[in-house]
Amino acid sequence: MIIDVNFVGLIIASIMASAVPLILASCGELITERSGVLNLGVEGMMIIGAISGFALMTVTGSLIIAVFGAMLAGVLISTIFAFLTQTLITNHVATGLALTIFGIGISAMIGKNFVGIPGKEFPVIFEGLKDTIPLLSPILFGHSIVFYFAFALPFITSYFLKKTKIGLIVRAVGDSPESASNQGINVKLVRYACILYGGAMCGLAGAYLSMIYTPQWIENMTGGRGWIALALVVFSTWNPIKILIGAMIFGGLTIIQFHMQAIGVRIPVQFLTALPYIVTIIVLVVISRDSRKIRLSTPSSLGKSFYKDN
Amino acid sequence: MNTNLKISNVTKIYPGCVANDNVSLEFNSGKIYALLGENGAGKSTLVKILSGVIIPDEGKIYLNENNLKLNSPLDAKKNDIGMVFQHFNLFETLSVFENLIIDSDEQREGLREKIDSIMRKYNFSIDLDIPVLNLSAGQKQKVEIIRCLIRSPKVLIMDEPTSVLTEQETSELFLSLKKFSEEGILIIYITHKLKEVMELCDEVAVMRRGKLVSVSEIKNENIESLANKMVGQNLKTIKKKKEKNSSDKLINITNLNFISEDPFETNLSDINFSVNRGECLGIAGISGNGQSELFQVLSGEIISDKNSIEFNKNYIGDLNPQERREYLMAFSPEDRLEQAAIPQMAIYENVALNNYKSSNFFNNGLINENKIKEHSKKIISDFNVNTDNIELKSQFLSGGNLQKLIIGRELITSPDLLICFNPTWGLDVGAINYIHETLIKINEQNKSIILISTDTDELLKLSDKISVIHKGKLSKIMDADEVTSEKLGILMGGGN
Amino acid sequence: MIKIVKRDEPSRAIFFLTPVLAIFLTLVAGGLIFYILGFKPFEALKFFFIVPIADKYGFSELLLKATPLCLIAIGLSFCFKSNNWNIGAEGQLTFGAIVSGGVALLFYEQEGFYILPIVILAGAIGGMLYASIPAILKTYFNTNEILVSLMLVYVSKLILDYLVVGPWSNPEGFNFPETRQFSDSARLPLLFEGLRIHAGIFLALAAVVMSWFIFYKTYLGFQMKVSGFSLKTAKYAGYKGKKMIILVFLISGACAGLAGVGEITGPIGQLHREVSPDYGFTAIIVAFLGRLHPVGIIFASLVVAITYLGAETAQIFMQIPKYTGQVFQGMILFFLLASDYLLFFKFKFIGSKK
Repeated sequence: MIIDVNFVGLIIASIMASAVPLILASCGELITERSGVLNLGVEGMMIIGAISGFALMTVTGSLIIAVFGAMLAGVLISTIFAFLTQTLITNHVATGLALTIFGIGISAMIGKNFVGIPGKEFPVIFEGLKDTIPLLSPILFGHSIVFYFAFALPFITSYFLKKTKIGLIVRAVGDSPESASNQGINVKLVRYACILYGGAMCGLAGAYLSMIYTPQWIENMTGGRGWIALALVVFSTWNPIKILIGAMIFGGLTIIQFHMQAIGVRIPVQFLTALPYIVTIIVLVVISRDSRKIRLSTPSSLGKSFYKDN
Repeated sequence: MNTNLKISNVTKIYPGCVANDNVSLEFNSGKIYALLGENGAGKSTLVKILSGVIIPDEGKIYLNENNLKLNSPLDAKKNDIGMVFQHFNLFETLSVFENLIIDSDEQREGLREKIDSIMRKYNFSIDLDIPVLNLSAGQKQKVEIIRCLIRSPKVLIMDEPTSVLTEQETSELFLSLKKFSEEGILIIYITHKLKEVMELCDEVAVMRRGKLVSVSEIKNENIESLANKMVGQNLKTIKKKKEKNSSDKLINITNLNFISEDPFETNLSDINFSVNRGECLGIAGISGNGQSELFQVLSGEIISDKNSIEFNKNYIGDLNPQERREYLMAFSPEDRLEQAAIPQMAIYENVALNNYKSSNFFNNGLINENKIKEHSKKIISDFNVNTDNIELKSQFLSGGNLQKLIIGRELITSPDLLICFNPTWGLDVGAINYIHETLIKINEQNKSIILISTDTDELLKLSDKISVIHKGKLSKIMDADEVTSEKLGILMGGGN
Repeated sequence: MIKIVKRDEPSRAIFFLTPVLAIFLTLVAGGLIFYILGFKPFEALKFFFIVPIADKYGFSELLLKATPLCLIAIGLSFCFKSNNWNIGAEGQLTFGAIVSGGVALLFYEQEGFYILPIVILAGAIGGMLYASIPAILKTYFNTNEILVSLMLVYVSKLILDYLVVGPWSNPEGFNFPETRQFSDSARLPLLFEGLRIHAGIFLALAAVVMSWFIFYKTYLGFQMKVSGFSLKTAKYAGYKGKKMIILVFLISGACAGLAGVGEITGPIGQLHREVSPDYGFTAIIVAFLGRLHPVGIIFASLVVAITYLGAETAQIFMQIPKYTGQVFQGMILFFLLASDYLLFFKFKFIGSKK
């Protein structure tokens, strides 16, 4: 049997495309968590981004407005989370859950009018170079700008955290908000900013799903990806580059599922669909066993509320 | 260049206590000032006001005649006031250099050069690129000092700096401070340790219950006079009668080891010791050398090999704390607020935490509130806890009263062995004396104590035998009579 | 000038008032949303909150929906009080339904008073088994229970789906995605003629009484309380931390599993591809709204049940999309969490001093 090299390239490219929303959401949540905030509302923010992007695209016809609008929607909804957890000092877990439930409800409400509408075609870059290099050209060329951004993001995030002053401040706040506050750093402001950034990235991830990947609005279309993104942050031990690897694995699992069904492999479709979730659990268990490593890489103040008495 | 710092009529009130009551002080550069007072006297509050962490309710601060508006730590730094807190404001997982650059406006290369020159000048040697987590307490303190020096401060305030230092590190610190003072930096040294004040400082301001009670020159004072000013009355000296103890072994620890999964904890190796009836074994050491882990291993919060702990002819190494209490052991941990008691629970609920078999607190699994309350009332009266209300939430008890409640709870069963860790930290002198008297009484009744403490004076006062813990290992056990605090200091620093 | 000051201790009066405040704010915000969507706010709110329970049948539907919510929330209160974040109650409900449904199908042609108790027991066991997974992974493998229990929700729904359209599908069912109907012996008896409310409500009430008793009267409840405040203190007191974690998860799993049985042996009568409109997640909101207190949870489950009914009614009568139910649920939790701020902080009026 001759394996068409381009076919392999196409498969890899489709795995990468599937990984995009995970990378975006995880890298956003990673910054949030590095500042010590646990935002379980990722799924809610993603789906709001999905409907916002799709709705704006359909209503205004402008893709730019739609993409930035989706990011703005993510920012707005995450502001509610930030206000509750940072200013009103509410419990992180409950607030994040409320955000998800609310987000799913509101997106379905708005989305009712957009079901069944076909998506607009999203422009891709380097299309002309599509057939130049065997194996590599389906991977490197012909994707949307969001795709390229997503694959650059882990490196940008890593650079930001390690090499910039602001990144250092984020890490410091996550390590010890008390020490940061005693040194004059405005912990609340830093955490607000990180939460809003996470919201923007999750919004973008959702928009990618509804505008580029599918492209359509379907109720509940994020299908648990937000939770997988959260898990990815944990088992990348808060290291952006590892998110890239993890996202590819999960993207891969999703794609394999489709192809196995297509080939007619006789495994029940539900098992294949369940595979990403089961694998997530297994990987989480394996990673968490090394409690020494986990203690060192988890931001020390993650999930704890910070209150400064004056 | 002369620096003048004036504190004028500063007042800070918290619900239930006046932390600073109309305090006025004046400092001039060229001298090292001590701000002396016992725990709760108000020194920390005053100094936090100076460094912008707390805003006073009334009063002003003048630096060289300029009225300072210190609304945040940043303001203090901008006004050339540098502060090294007792609890360091460092980021453990970041490198030394990253810790230093974070609140600096300078560029990386420039800052590195500046740091290197400061380290050369004062003979500090620290690797800038390792995580702060890996530094010793003395080195961490040096990082804090360097952080202040980078900004060329006019004023440098040190808050209780020596509680975590070895003898050697303390000498180095004093040398550095003297050098800074000679270079014109105004040094304010906050402490409750009288010996240090006498050794290091030129002038001393004493605070008591939020008020300034005296300002004087060191050459006109001695330890007794300062002690009296600090406490306000003639101190009763507690003395322990050193009687010949029985040689009846109560507890025997053999070959105890503990390896922790937590990188922030200290491992214990080769722990061997025994304690006789009626004896008090003191364990000295600088905080962070395994005391907390040793306490947990003795209390049963950390389980060990069954045979490694023999108590009253029973092997109990694998039992949990409540099971050990059945054998008549008792435990008073260092952490009153997060381990020994729950602040949001009432007094009587906290008493129920020690559910010994004959207590009948929980008959057949059901709560017997009357029994618990009856018992709590007894503890409050026997141990002089300053309240009548057992329904009061323990967060409203003062440190001293809470500690008395905890010790009372542990002692009510007349245990054969009490293990306590820093039982008097953070308490005022009255409470400290009460606890010491209680501990002496325990020995007089032929019961034993293992006293783990970072306060060497306390240990020398109360112990019959002493050992030093360093990096998780115990030194030879010595007779307390034959040990000097200098010798302890050397052992605590890891020497011989 | 108004200054915000921390209270010395949480105010008891506010403790009971904030859920009421939260509900009120939710109504206001809901009215606003309706207005933006182009509906008349008061009319919409009427159809949402009043119409659904205005008659006997409606009230019975309210209790019907409140029953599983109350049951699951009681189970969750054990977990949440001791800082164990069991987010996967929906999965435990589903798995309980699967196991009990499977047992009921075994008896699909038989009669006998013994069948229903066995089926109910099976459901509780199913829920417990499923909840034991995050519990064991947390205690022995140090794994975060939030993510594990959540992932398992998806897995359980997929297992149910597979069984219902696959091996358990009704051979005489014309390829509808459902199993055979259960025999009458495997159905929870209805309480009143013509109303759907069933005996499951007694299970819920029993759970309420039992949890009240355990929390406030037993040593076990005391240990849970202490563990919720401080694990360090619990360890110092000699409480068996690992055993407690597993126990609270098992209790929670059993309650969720029982809720699952209640659904399939109550109103549904067979297994479908879906057996719960996300009761397991909504119960989390009920637990918080009820302040993790048994009586509070009863009231909270009634309030949240209305949002389910109201969403249906409003859709039928005013074509308001039924997701408003979820929107209301999310908002109640937001407003409750926000109102809790008043528990710990108060507003002080400070005049200018001189």
